[in-house]
Amino acid sequence: MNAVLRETECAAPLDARGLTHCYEGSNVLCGVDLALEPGSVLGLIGLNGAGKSTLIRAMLGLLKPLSGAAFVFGDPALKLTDAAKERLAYVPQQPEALAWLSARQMLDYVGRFYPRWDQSFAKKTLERWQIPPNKLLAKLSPGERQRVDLIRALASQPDLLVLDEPAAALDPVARRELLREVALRAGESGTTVLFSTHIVSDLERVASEIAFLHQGKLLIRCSVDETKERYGRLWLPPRMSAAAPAQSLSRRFHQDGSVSLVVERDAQGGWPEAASLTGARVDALGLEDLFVEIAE
Amino acid sequence: MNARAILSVPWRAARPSTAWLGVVLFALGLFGAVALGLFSQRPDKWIACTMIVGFCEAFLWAFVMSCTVLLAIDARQLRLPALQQGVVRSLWIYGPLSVALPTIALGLFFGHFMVIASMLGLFSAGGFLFALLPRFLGVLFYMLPLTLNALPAWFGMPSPKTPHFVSWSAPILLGLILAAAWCWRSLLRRENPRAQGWSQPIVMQFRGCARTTGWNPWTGFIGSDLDFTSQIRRWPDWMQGGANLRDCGRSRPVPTLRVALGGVFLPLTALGWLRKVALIVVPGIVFIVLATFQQILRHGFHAWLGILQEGGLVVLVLCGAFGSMLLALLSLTQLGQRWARTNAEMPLLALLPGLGDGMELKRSLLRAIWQPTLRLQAVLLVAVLAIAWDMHMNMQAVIFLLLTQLGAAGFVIAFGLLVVGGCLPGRWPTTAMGIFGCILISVSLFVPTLGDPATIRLSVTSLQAVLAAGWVVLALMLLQLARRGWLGLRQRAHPFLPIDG
Repeated sequence: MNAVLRETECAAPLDARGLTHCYEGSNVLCGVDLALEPGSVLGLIGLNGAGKSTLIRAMLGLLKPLSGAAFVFGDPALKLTDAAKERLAYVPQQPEALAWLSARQMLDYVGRFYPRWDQSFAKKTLERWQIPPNKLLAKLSPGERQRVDLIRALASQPDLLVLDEPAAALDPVARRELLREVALRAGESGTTVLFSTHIVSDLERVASEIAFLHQGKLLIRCSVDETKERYGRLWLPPRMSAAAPAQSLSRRFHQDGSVSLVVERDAQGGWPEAASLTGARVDALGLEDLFVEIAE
Repeated sequence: MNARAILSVPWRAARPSTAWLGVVLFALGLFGAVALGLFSQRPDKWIACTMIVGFCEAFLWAFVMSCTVLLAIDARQLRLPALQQGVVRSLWIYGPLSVALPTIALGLFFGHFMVIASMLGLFSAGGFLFALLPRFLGVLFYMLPLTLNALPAWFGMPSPKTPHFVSWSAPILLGLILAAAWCWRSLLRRENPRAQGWSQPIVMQFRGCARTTGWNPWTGFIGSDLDFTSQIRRWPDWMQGGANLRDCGRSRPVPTLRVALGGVFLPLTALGWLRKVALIVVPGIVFIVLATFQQILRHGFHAWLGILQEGGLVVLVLCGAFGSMLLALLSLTQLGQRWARTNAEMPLLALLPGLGDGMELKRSLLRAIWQPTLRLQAVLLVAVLAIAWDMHMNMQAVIFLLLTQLGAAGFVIAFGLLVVGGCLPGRWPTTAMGIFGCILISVSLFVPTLGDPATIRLSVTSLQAVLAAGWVVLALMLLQLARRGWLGLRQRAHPFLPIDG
């Protein structure tokens, strides 16, 4: 029994293995593997429609993938135990649940199910964010609604916090406050956080790791600091475009015949051979440039 | 805008399916009126024929042509005066055209060109004005028979058979057109013409419909923009609230799930119940009082008592029986909407600890979705049977009444299982089955109870055999669907997965 408990505690908070899913015949996830280390803050980034929400929902057992499996604290995501559910909080994109309850009623209702529910945090944050507690959720603005759901998620004091585009409906002040809260939780309580976004500055502010999802595939998975060192843009003049390496994250041919590629350092820390050719150039890429280069 | 663009305005402004429905209804009404005129021997048949076409005209103008105002609002907001003028021109073309064409068709058969044109003009302008009136006046639509009965008396309307009908209707028609024009103009000039609410024009409710390209019986027949959750946003505060959270918690999955499902499933406090009951009962009482007043004025108190004894109880039986069917439709539509939304109650419930797991949770969920509806249906069943008993209704009529109630409950059980089992049939089979069930229930209700209103006696006809066969088919279909839903539910890892997931 103790061994089982220890195994559950040590298991990765979130672990996806070979997740594949499609909608109406088009692939949304193509064999995605993604595991989160305890205490990490992983920012999942990608274009609109890249499959971020589908990946999150499949990882939490909110949809059944075509193939592959996901685990939350070692439990199969589709059959979570109460113990795993108590340690997990999820805020969907544009939450719309329980529109017929007021904010206070909703928090009271949900709070009854979590043993570590922080009633005073819920009450104080509701006041601090100036959300009318007795107004029906249906009548709140999208931003207010999202904030109520964030309070709901944070008040349960989760070990794993999953946020799907949490800042999408928030104003800059609320967004910054949310990111501060996320960083605080991760830093002080060791909460593991997975959040999806397409706002790169949010990632840089709070994430310790990033995962870039593009066309259903996970193209990049590394720490935020590492991206600047590990990836670069290799530009080859027209006469050398034939020497472009076969392996690259993106490849763009220019009208003058030159070519730009996003390349990765090898295991020894070196750029591809073509980078040493005369006239070739490797530029450092910021996070945003890196995503734009790959996504375009 | 060229002539072609102007002519296409109403068909682009309205939702395609509504536009088609309006045109088909109009054509059917016209053909039906002509057919009635050919086969009927009554001397005043032309009035009935004109009324049939008139209702179709009113529908067309209330639900299709009125959508042009939505386009006009957009044109004004986008500063496109040419488009705005094109919208108005299209109304000037379609207005006379929609009156003239049926007038010619009916007039060639019956004569009375001017009277028919006046009647159709009143119906068209009335329909158009109705759509531009505030939403709270929409209640008149639900009291249409009473309203149509009462309006002639209130306005001293002469019969179309009398010679001064045309001279009477001309200023009324002008008044309706002017009122519609005033409503149109004031709507366009509002600071926020797109605002929703009870004081906003009825036509603004069609805005969501125009955006959707098709219907889905599981998210609402009029588009997902008008689902029950978004309706809450539009209702005034005094109509809301009253959720009873007292029994929710880890050890009480059924009330907890009912709160999360909301709508007809939501447990209410005493005050909440009073509000809900008042919403249903008050309009009913207003209707009964108005109808009573009107009947007493017309026939006197004693004659009215006689009418009540003869027909009042039949109406109560029909209300109870149809109430059961509407309840089934309402609960199943709400259920379909809950499972269709991926960012609302389903993820919350899937990750909420303490609700139990496996088959225990699935059974609790079934109790939560069946209990509220089946309880109300049971109350209606008992009430209907008690009235039938009091009326000394014969056994066959009672059996058909019982079947209608059980049929409605059967829909709740079978389709409830299909929703939570994630294996709903497609759009067309669902619609076909819904229509089949509605027709069967309606015919089973009307034929036995209204076959002979004086004695409520059911004669032995071949229709009974057809009805009985229909019920057997429906029962077998519901059983098969329930079995399919149950097997689907058993195979699901948990019941809060989306229908397509």
